Amino acid sequence: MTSQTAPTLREAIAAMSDTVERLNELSRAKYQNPYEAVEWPESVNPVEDWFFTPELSTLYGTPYWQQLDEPGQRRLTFDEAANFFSLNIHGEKALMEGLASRLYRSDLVEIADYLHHFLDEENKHSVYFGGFCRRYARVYRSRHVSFPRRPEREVEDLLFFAKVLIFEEHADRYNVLQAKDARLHPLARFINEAHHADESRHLVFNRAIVTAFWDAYSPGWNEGQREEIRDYLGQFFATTWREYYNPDVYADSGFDAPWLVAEDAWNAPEQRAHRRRVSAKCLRFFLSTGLLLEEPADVF
Amino acid sequence: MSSDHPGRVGADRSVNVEMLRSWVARKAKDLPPEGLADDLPLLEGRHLTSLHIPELILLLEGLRGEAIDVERLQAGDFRDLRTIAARFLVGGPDPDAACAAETVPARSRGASL
Repeated sequence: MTSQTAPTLREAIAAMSDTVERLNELSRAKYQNPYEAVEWPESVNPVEDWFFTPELSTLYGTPYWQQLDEPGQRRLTFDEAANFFSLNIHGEKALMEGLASRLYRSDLVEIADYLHHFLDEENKHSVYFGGFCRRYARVYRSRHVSFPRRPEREVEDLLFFAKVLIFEEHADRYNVLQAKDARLHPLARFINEAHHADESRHLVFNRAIVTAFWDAYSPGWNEGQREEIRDYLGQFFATTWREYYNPDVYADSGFDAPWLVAEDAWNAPEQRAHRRRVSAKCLRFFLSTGLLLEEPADVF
Repeated sequence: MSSDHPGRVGADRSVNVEMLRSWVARKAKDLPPEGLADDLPLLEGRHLTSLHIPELILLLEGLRGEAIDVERLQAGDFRDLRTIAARFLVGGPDPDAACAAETVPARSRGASL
């Protein structure tokens, strides 16, 4: 049952048509060839150059950070750069699957042009991320496991784009900070800047489409369904942040008890404060729309 | 520090199973009045979702002290507490772990940090 005041999905999408058309024009104007836009160095030196902003390290502010000398800190953050790029690769794989499955769906045909751009740009990002990881580091594994999807398409649509929004808002904050960080190797700055250039449009689209789905569908859901959605999104905050604290990275950087390091870093007050700062803008969106009623537990 | 404290490699298996139980009890939604039974279907009963699995894998890896080959996992591996414990905590080393590409520790420095 749908409330009389709730817009239909068609109406909600029509309301964002000007935004989508502007994003289409920008994507066409800023079209980039990832095979020509960057010259890959023969090699890089992970202990001489910074590839990741040290203050963004998952160990920054913890006792582990102080135990490393500066070359050790550079080495750790090089591996964290590869992990950051890897989790983007895994996230974009899932994103591309979800976008492709929605291309030309009858109720979403009005945004098909932008889904083409979105898909194209995500694939290009993965070319950059994969290019770095495969040349100089490795692609770190994901711990996500694909299970059968939810049966309700409306819920699945909302959750898909809401998860994209959370993931991309966090990654974009890292991109913005690192693109401006003059200490970083030019290649690291370039990849972060190139990603941000496209993501800034994706963030606008994500907020518009999540709002459209929520406005159109949520009035027809009962409180139990809305609570289940909120629980799921809250858990996604924890899951997506946990990926930054990867024991495989700590092992590569020479730590003997990598899972313990991951757990300690996750629980460190400085790291909780860091996550809160990075998530703040994204959280404000979810709280202002009513998609969340309170901050997720066990994250900040 | 969390009460779930992975990384204690070599801890008694029953201790590991209890830590697993404690983690699931803390994360699971809408547990039945009789509590968390060993055969309670965790995913099928929607007490946990697939989003909990990465965190659960981290816990299990820390408890057993070796990586899990995620690419070979199936939903059935996480059916209930008994299945999870048997699959990942009790018994010999996971044969799939040897196949996990470049799993930890890859480049141990040999000194505690």
